[in-house]
Amino acid sequence: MALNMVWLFSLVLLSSGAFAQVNAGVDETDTRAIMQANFLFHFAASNEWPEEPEADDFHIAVIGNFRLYEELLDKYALKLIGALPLKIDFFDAVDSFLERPAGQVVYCEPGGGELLRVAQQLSDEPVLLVANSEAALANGALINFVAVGNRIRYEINADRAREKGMLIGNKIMSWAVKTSP
Amino acid sequence: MMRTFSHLMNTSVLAGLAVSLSTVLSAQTPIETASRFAESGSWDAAYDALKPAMQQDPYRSDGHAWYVLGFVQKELHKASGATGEEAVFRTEAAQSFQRALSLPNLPAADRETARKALDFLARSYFRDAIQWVEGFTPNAEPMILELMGRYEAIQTSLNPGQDLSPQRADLHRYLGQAYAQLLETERFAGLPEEQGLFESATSHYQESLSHDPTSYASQYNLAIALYNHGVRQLKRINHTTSMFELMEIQDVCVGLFEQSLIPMRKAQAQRPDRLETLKGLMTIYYALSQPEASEEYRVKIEEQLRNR
Repeated sequence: MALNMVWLFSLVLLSSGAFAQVNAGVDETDTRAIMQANFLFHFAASNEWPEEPEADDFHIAVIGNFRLYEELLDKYALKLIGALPLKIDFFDAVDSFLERPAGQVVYCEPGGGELLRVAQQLSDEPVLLVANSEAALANGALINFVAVGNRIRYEINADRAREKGMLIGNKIMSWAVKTSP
Repeated sequence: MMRTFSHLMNTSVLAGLAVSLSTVLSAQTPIETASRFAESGSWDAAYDALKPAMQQDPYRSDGHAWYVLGFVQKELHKASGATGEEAVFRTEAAQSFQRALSLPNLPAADRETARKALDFLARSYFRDAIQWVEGFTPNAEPMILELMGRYEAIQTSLNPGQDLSPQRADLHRYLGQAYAQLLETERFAGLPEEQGLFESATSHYQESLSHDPTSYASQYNLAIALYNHGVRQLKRINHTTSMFELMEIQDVCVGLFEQSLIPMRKAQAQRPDRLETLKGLMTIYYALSQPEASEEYRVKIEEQLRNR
């Protein structure tokens, strides 16, 4: 969806030309990507993560949403998560992620079976899998973005997070619209 | 066309002034002296000769004298090239012509020419107002509205039943665009003035719509101003933004996006095939987390592009 919109913006721009009576058009910034990127940063910064003495940095992986990746890279790369600098990785599809899984926080844009494949791969890892699709908690995501009253909010599978030994921060829990599947 | 009209008017007036001059060659009344100077293009001297006499009888109630003075002042205005508040002779010329038209002894031929001259001056106020909008600074707004007010006052005096709503709607739309363009430059990003500029832009668009509710451009521009202001707030989100602040910013932005939907829908209803409104609706619905509605407009855009 996000990539389709980028393409359409370009086509519309070429087709519409300049309009003497109207201002410059609609701001093409991906507003949802801005919000989601900040949520992901808070998810990373507000959780308690298992200690990894050998880790040099903290990774957020983004699968299938390039504009979200760009937003994270632009505003959050190299900010500290605990003592570790944040790095952002992009994977254009689930297959490319599964070839080389990485990240303490993984955002997966594709839903359904694709999300399930990622969840299965990460089932035993202390990884926070975040999704943006219908029934994503049932498909293995720990956090899923949902729309509530035209706003972006999120739901949490708190039980599954506990099973994985992950401590989701109180601040994150308190803003969730639902904390179990 | 304007030059031709002005030229004809000047020719007519000069002929009239010449008649006044030839009628009484020996007697040098103020109006005759002024006419002689006017004939040779010495407008300053003509003004100096006639203006002091206009406060005295019989000139203060002489329609023709006010008419002649009006033309002298109009020519002085044109020669000065002054605009806005500095165009003192234009104001004086309009007052003189209005005084002439209010006097019953103004000859019929003079009356018609005076009306044309007043109409010319009124249009120059409107043109002046628009020119000030083009090089806009917020400080200029009171003067722009004053110029518009003078245009309307003269036009209404000439044609009491005339509907000036289209011009008033245009002016407010231009002002809305001027404020919106200042916002787009980001010069006021994050500064206290930014909110004031945004409120000025949207209130001028709304004022424009109150004069012309069918204005597609005002509806579309209002929608864009509301939406883009929301996006500006979102763009300031960064790693220092707390969760609480994030939720607050989101509430403000969603409010603006929801407001923008109303004029964008109206604009789209007026011109269903315009790509810019389809794109606007696609984007607003996307920002409001309504992917199905956004997708609907994306499909319409594709159809439009295919049919071109």
